[in-house]
Amino acid sequence: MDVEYKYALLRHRPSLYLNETENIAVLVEGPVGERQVIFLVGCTPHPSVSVSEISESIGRSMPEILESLIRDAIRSKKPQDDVLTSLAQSMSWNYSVSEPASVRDSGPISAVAFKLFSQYVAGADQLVENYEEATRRQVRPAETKIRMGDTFLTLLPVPGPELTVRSAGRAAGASD
Amino acid sequence: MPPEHLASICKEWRRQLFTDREWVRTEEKPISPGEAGGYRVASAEFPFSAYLKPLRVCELHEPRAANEKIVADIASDLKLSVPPVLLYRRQNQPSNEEVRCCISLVVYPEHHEWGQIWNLSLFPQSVQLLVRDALSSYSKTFALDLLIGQTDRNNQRNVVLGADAASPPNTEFLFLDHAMSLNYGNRWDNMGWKKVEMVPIPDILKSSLRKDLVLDGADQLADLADAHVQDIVERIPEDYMASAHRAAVIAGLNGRKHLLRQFVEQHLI
Repeated sequence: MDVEYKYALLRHRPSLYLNETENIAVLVEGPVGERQVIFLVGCTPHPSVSVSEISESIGRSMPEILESLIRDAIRSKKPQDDVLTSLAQSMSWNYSVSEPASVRDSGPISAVAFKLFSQYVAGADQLVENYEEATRRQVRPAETKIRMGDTFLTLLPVPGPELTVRSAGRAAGASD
Repeated sequence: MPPEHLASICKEWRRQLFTDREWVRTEEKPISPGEAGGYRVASAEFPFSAYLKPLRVCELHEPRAANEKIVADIASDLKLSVPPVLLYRRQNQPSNEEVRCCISLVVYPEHHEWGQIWNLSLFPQSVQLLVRDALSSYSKTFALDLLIGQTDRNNQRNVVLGADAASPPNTEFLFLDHAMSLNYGNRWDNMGWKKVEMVPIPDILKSSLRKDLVLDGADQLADLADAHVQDIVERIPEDYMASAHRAAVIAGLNGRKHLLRQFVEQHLI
């Protein structure tokens, strides 16, 4: 049976004076069993123009920054908003989150996230393979953060009754 | 301080009241649509973009655009970290959106919401040092926040870190969102301006503030001539800010500037 998921894209625009924009992550909000979760798949940006050291650092730390911003969005969102809508309002400049859209799919949230990641993020297929290989070799406990090669994996429960943040993506320069 | 190549534009925006350019929207997604909202705009043959706001129609006692212009002009005169602002009367806007808007110059090719760097431990030592050094120099801008009655800096979005890869020393924090300051909601009426309150700020700024610099900023604001403040406020057109409201803003600014030093002495460590 099809399930409705909401998703948004994390975009990187290296310069506000230029139109170039790169999709770097997909965030999907939807149910897993009785719980509502956020599943995030992403990679660090690869802009074609040089960016500041600050921007590079933010890109490298994006999984942790997003995790923090998602937790904040969960805390501060208006009752009528979903988490992704609230997050979209908190990232509006060089790193921005698109307006959430909906998709119906019969697969689990992780499959939906990887499908959207392949669809929207350049070079995502190799990252998806890396991730799948990594997860085949791992027994995932309830909460874990792993960096394997250039693949980043986070799985953690969010304090509160309903929401969990999961993220996976590439962290540049990470090592075994 | 704006980057050198923008200095003449910033000076021009301070001198002018309205933009003489036509601006077009560059992105589909409005920013902060749940609040007053806005979006980025560009103008033909002008190499820099700007941020247009507000979208939501404002009541007369909520003069958002006028407040932004007044605060930006005061900041410009004291070389504080607020982007320059011009008023912009929109044409052909949707019927449910505001006509009386303003545009705020996008001063750097990179703007990063400061909420992204609040957890400094995520970043390399060099970036941590840069951010801490930069933050302490905004103590004077904090004094401006006290003067205008800024109600919330403890917000991940209303300060951005501007950076330019082509010119690495050009990195500065820019204080945004002054729409709900001054006499917003007529809160300064009936001598309400006398109530100076601490601005809520995040820990990262709290730990970086230097009291001596905040006091310097307070003294510089106190030294602004009454007539100078009056000139900045009085040139705002009536439909952007009614005359009674302007009078309250002038009285408030000229009264509060003399309360700042004592307030800072008592409330900052």
